[in-house]
Amino acid sequence: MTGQTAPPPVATSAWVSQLQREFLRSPIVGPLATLIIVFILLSFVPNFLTLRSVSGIVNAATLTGFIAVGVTLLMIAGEFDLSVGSIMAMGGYVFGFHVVAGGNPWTGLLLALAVTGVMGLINGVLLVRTGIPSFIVTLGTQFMYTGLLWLYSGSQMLQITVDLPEFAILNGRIDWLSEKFSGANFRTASLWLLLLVGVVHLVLVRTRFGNHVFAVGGHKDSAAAQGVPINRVKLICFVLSGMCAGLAGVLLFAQFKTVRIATGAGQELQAIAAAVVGGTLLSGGSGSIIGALIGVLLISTLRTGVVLTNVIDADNFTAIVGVTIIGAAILNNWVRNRT
Amino acid sequence: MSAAPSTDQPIVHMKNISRRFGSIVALEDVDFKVYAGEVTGLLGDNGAGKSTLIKILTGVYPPTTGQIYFKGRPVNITSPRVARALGIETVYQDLALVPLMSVSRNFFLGREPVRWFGPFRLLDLKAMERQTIEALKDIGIEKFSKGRSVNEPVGKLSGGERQSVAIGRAVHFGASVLILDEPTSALSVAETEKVLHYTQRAKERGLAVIFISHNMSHVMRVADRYVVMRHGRKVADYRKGELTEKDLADLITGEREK
Amino acid sequence: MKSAMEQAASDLNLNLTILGPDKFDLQQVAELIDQAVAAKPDGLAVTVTDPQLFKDKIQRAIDAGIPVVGFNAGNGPEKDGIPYLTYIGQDEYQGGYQAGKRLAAAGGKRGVCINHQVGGTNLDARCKGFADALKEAGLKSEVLGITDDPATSQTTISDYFTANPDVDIALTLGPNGANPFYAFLKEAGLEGKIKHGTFDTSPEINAAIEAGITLFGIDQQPYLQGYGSLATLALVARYGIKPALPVTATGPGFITKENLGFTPNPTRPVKIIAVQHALCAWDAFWCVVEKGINTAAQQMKVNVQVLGPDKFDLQKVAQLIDQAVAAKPDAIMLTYTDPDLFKEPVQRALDAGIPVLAYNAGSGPDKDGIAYLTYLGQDEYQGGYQAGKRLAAAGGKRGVCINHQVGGTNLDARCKGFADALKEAGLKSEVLGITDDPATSQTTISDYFTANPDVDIVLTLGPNGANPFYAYAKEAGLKAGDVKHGTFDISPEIVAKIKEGFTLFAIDQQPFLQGYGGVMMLQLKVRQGISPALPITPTGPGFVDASNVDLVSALSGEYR
Repeated sequence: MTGQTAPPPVATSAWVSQLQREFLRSPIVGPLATLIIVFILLSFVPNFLTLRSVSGIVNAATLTGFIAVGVTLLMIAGEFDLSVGSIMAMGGYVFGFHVVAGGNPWTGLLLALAVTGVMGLINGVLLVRTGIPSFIVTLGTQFMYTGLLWLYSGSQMLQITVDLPEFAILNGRIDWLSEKFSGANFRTASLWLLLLVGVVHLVLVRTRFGNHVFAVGGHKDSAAAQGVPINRVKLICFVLSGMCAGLAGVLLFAQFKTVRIATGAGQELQAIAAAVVGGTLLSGGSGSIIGALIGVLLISTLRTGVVLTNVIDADNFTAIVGVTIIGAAILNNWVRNRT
Repeated sequence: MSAAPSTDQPIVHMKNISRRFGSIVALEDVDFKVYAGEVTGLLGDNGAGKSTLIKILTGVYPPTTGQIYFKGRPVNITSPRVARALGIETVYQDLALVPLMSVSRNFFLGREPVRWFGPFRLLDLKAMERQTIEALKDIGIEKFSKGRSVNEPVGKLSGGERQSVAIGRAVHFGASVLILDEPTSALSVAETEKVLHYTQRAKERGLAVIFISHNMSHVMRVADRYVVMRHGRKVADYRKGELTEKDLADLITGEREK
Repeated sequence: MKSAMEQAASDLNLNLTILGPDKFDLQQVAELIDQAVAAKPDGLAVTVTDPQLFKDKIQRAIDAGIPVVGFNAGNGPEKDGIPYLTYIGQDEYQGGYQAGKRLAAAGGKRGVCINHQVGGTNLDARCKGFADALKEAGLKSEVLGITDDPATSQTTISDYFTANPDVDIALTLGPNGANPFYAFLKEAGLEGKIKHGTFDTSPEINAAIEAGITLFGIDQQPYLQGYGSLATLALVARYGIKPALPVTATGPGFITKENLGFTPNPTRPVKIIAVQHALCAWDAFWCVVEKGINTAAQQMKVNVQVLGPDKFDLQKVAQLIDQAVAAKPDAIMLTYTDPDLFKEPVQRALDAGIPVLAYNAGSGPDKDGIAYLTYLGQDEYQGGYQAGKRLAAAGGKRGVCINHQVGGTNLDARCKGFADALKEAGLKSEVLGITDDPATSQTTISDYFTANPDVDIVLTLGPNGANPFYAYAKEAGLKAGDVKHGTFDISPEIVAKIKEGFTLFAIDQQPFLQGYGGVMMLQLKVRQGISPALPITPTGPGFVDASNVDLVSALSGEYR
């Protein structure tokens, strides 16, 4: 180790330009810019800039947000998880059945996280052991897990009509807020998502594990050559992705008190779309959890925007989402290549 | 007709190494020595056995027969991790760095310094930046101490710069044996010069360098010894100055027997 | 008809009292209704011969909580203006329509409906149905008016065919039309050259059917009116299962050469094999269907064997159909889940002379292109339509159909029916597409109501739509009555909301009825020679509302 030297004095202007460069290099610049532009454009739509609409946007984004956190983490590590939808449903069922049987919701939550974590682990082990691309592995397990759901659920929707106080903590409306501001229907699950995004973001950019995730996704062999335990990193990412999806299932049940086999269907692609819109590379090695959060918010904002304009049939909004995904990907590329 | 050792004891001695893959004999009774403060050029045509030899040294494969001695003591290098623990570092041309990650994150990949922030063990990003700049300056890479940010992705660096960063990393982390696998192929002349320069610097710092290359003129520029492989055997082991480039070429192709 | 009712009472273990006047005296019938209500029966079947006269009486029965069906005479609750459950009898339009389809299929070029009572609502409806069926087949048709005088009528018919020699399809609306038509045929030497069908039967018509001059006579199947009325009332009283439509057609029943000399035998042993693509053993939905099958089998003394695969495997189901055919049962009922796979085995059953009925899955013999008796299941369009009518009647201004699977044929048909019903009521409506994700859907619904605050009629197409709608309603603080809400299907949540009064009704396909009705229809076919009237026999919409929600939820999982 060389001797200590004082940090070089940096002039304020240099510091500012340094900050500018750092910011421009961040993968969230593109998505953030898109979100702001979309918000400005939509602010001309009547009723858009209201607490009711904004809280609606946030609520619609929240559960997908949980899944997107796990999926983005995996994508940065260079892998896909197409089974998150069925894992989400499994999380809901495990939690729901436990609660229906009179179990404590908190142990139900832990149980759901354990089961869905194991499902993620199975994905990971299959990938590591067989070397088959995760796209294929999780496509397979998606069907497997759906079959498992049929068995576990007896092909029945699970629904209850009682409200437990724990549900209000997990995913209840923040009543004092909505009482103070009419239409502000924010929910606790959104707070938990913010917390999760914060923690996972910190883990990604400020821990060894996070550094290894980027390395494994960016160049697996280089990472292995530097002694990064690539298989362990991938396994952990799969487990986390499974648990994020499972948590989404639990939170869904806590609000809607219902779970079906089809619960979570299509979430995997929504999450991948959010990740890509949020600046994560499909090829891995680069991306941002905060970007993914912006991604789900962007998609949700567009959906609300389209419904509120009343111009286009609401069921056609998917086309708009498609255009946005491609647009955001182009913008992200452009920003990336300029810095 | 083998060369006399330059110093008393080799840092690595691969003794009577053979390796078979099924019925195919990849290495046959190879004796390979590497000395500290010396660049050993390892030459040979494709399929001559160079890379098998190196993979055995770095723990990718075990030898079928034979023994490796490290600083005079027998060692079993069962995995790349063991090799690294012994201080045997390899710089592969494509596998050196992660292009999307910053210079400093690459520099510390797998050896990241951490600090406790309350209950959390977080990366010491400041230390990583500072040490990267210093270490690269040490080996002669000045650009990062002259304003170029070590937070830039490695992908923005030129091929020679990447090799140099990888060499600097190996030197910084106290490697005693540095294996450079085709470090100059696909590089421009200027870039090649830099890599040869940093190879020289590594040697001057007392490392044993194994320089694997097809390009004889590059090997002749930096190597102190030449070891030539052909058909899985070591066919020549000479000191610098004992051979001309023509001799060396003939040895590789088999025009000339030892 | 009395024997039909007595047979039903004995099959279904009902205590039956039949009341009627000693001569044709509607005033006396009206008094008998009062008398019946006073006896507090579990159900009441009435011939709604004079809606004006009977209206208050029937209303009193309904107010007293007695389920009422009309049979034989009536026009359905809507036209009669009395909210009884359904009218069980001939559907005149359908009679003409089905007759037209058969005649067009027999291969003619141009048709005529010979109407002996132009201006009479019932007969005009038959001609209208006939014309519509021919139009669908790409054929032209006209109405030829004749009179009660056979001599003039024969001349009129003769003149018409002279002027229109290419007409080769004729429908007559009863013996009064058939009689001069036969006279004309004989004189013109055209017997067997014109595809002829007629309503009703007479010795003359039967002889013509026998001779191949007439393809069929249509009858309103009075036996089914009696039997069906009691079965319907028993299902309402016991299981809360209501008839799907305001009119339950017992006719057209087609009398053809094949079934002309049929001798009924109400005690004949009957063996039915049911083949379905799922079993109660591994899919709880089917427990209700099988319960229906077994209940009917036990009541009607029919031997039913249920076959199904041990997992979802349509290939295996096709094999089971062949297996059923080989066992030579009196009838087969099956889920027509895969037309491509099942067509051949079902055809083999039909070729072997075994009557086949489809239940739960199918599109009807016309769309499926194979001549099974009927498809017994949910009619999606009618479900949406009836729901729309109820919601519009509840007093809203503008509607939305919340569709959680836009592009799905079944759900789209529900929304179409809903839209048509609202349009008829002079109300606007739209479709709002949502997804499988309740969180997103809730926000979409919220946004839709933000943009369209005047919408106050909502139809959701199942728990998947109702669930996010309730979540929205809770958040928006909607109270019962703020929005007229109806939904398809039942879930614990929906049942709770009906009890609260927030949701007006839920519609289900009544799987119990699919099993029960299948057995009932097939045993009637085997024992009485009675065929289901229509290619599609709807078991739903079955409405679950405040009046029967307690019964339905108590029986949930067994009968619903």
